[in-house]
Amino acid sequence: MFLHLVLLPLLVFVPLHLSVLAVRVANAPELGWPELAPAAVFLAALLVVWVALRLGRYAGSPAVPSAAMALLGTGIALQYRIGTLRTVEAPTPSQLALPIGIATMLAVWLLLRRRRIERLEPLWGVFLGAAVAVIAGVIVAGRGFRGAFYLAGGMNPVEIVKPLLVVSVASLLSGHRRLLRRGFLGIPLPPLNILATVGVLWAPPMLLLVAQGDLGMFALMNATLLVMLYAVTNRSLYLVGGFAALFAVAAVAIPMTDRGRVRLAAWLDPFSSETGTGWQILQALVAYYSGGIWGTGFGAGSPNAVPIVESDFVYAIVGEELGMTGCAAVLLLYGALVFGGLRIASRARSAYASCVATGLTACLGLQTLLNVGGCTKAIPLTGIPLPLLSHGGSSLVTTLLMTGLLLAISDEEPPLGARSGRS
Amino acid sequence: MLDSLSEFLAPPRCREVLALLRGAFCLACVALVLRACFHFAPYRVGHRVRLMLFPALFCIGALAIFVYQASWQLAGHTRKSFVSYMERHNSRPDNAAHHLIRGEILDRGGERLAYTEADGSGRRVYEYADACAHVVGFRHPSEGLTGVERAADDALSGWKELRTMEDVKEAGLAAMRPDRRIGTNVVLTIDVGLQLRACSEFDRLKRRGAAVAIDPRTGEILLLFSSPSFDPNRFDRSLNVDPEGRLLNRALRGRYPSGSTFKTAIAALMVECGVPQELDCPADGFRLRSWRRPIRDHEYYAYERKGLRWPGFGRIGLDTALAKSSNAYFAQGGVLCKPAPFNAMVARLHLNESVTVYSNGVRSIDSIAGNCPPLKRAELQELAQRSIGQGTLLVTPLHMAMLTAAIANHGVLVPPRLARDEPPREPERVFSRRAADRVAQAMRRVVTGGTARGIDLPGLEVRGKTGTAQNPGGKDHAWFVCFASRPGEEPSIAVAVVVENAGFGSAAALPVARGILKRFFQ
Repeated sequence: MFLHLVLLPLLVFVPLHLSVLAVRVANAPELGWPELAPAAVFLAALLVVWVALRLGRYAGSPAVPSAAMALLGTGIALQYRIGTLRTVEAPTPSQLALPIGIATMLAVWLLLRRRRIERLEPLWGVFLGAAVAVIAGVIVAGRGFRGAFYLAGGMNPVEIVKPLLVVSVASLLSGHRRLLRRGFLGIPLPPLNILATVGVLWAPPMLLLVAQGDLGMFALMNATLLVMLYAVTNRSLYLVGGFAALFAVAAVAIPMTDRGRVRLAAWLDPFSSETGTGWQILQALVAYYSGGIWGTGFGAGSPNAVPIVESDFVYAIVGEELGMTGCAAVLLLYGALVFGGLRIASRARSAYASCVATGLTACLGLQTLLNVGGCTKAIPLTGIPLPLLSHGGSSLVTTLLMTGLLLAISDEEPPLGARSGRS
Repeated sequence: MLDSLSEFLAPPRCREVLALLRGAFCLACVALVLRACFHFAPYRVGHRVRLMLFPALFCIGALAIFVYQASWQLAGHTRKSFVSYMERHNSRPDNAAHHLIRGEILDRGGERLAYTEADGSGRRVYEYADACAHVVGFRHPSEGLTGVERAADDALSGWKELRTMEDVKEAGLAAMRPDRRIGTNVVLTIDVGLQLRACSEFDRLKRRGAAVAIDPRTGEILLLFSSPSFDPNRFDRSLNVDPEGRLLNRALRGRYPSGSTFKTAIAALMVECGVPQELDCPADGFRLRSWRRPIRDHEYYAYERKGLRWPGFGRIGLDTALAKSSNAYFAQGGVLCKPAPFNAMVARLHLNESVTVYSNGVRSIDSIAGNCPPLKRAELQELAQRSIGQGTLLVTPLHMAMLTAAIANHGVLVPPRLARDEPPREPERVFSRRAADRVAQAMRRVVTGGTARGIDLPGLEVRGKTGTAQNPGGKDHAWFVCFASRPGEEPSIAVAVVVENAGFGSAAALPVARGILKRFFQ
């Protein structure tokens, strides 16, 4: 476990941090202790997680925590490099996000491991209600900024809706999986009352998301639902047909809103508004081109030419400074996270736990695809952050919470044999 | 120790170190992923869900995005608009697009007004910073292009001739080789000497304003200057919200009441319409109806301020009226000509239209339209006001330069143009030859014995007209229009100068025009 949880993530983080330090020292021969703070913070986080999992005798998959920790380290290095992680200032909410996130992850794991997660199954109504309340509360109390709603201090609590919805809808889907599986010649024909129940319960949070104007989150959660439906029923038509329907809805609905039209235009022809709406994506593309195959070196590029690069466009820094190879490496890390998560799902003992794990993994994976696709102009921009890499406290805490859930599902039973002697 | 480390990491080595660290990062990622994949956990029979489709879709999606990303990251040079965009809007020091050498902008004598440095920095240098800022424009990574840089971008960036995809690909690959010249040069009709002179004259005045000079015979724009100017080499975002409006090209886009300079057009119209040229100009001025406020001459108020009573001009002719700039005379004259011929003249002078001075079929440089909407038959009071350059009449300095050039060229207006290699456009007759020459004769009197005596340069035949335009924004705008020739030759330059809120035209605008003429004929 030491290898997975401390050594390998550290090996991922250290070259990046050293690169930034090398660039700073090459520019001016002075280096204060605060410059080493990111390394100290990350090392502390790794050790805390490792000690906790060790003491708690974690017996689940090492792939998910390993990949998550490596991505966390990459994120810290990226934020440190871009300057959002100022170490000398008093702690801000976004800096507290890391310890809070780690604590949340470990707490969720400890509370829900050894199949205690199944106790959440009957509580689906509570989670669904909480999700609806959070979105509605943000609409009422929040204020708009850059096209989304935020609470005071720049917190965006809508992020928490992702695990809440997955946990609640999983019990519906896994509970009715036999009925949902009914069909003829591969075409799913579930009883209408079941479909209606799922639809009626799913509609309120989705309608509120649309009312809030968060079409990216709307697409993400619907796609996640489709993957979960497919996973519990093993009917591929749910996935294929559902995605087709989602595309159709997007094609009709996006041009109906002003912001959607602007983003669609910026995607289809950014050159028509070079210095306006097309600016951000075109500057990101220039960043990739400047990076080429090997990149300019971490810390040696000029990613600040892309506006707000630290949040949604953090992938552009990777593209410019680490090149295509660095992008491939980061995508591999996400791949490990997704495949590790799916492995956990396929090994889970209960249908409910399996469904939750699938939903969480699908959510993280799709989020990655939507973000990376958006900032390479492969798809329109959705305003969805890149998990663990983008700047943003709520997103970080939520992603670590989801990782904690995956750990809990993975860690199903105490290890076999007399291992109590080992600490 | 840090010092030696810093020395060790000096630029060429820094790159190597970073490359090593980059490799270490990638290897660590691969190692972590491999280790995670080959982790053989004890086999357990779980709740079996089959999940083939989602991981497959995830991989296909990620791969598709990755390939698409590579089409920009590795093969961006095959996209025409992208390379062109990078040449214009890239602020990164090590982008290959910096090796693209954009075409130069030259003045009529071949002086380089704008060029790209060939040292790999891609820096665009504007040699005559303030003097040509508005007309040449600038290229700024985040602000885009303005002026000729914008209008002639197709030629300057050299992407116009490329038609097929193969062309683009080849040119893109070639363009990424060091110091590759991609565009063609653009030669303007501007004379940089005149620009510099106008710039120094306005610097001396420290006032807002504009100066335009045209060669009346060919329509070539010799001078297009707007004050206050800025340095395009050091563009600063605060200019966008500058209270002085330094980015505004007042020569093309400033609208002013023309004041008395417009009387030259009315004089020509009077000759053309054949109305009596001997008119009575009493001290009490001209009034259309007894209850209207009269249009009085400026002298009336000057005497009144001294507590005296002005006797009036009495019965005067065209020459005296223009030399003295009599408001009463030209208000009467305009009303005698009637609105219909006035409207026709305004249309021939393009006062209500924006004038295109540069166009390549894609983008153009235009002036803003003036304001002189057609008058109805009964709007005689407004006609009287406009005849002395007031009322609702608004013109740009370019419009006034065109009017002056038309008079200088015996009534024929050659449409102004900014590109030397553009063929001259069809000349248009604005006034009859007789009318134009008669007004030119009267304008000579203005210089020899009227309001513009200060510009009577030896060895030149200068003809001009001053103007003092009342405006709601404060002190009067000073105007001066003139054209000049050596004795026995055709006029070769027509100048229009406006200085905002500077008072009398003869005091503020005339010295600027004098400086420009001196420089032109030296």
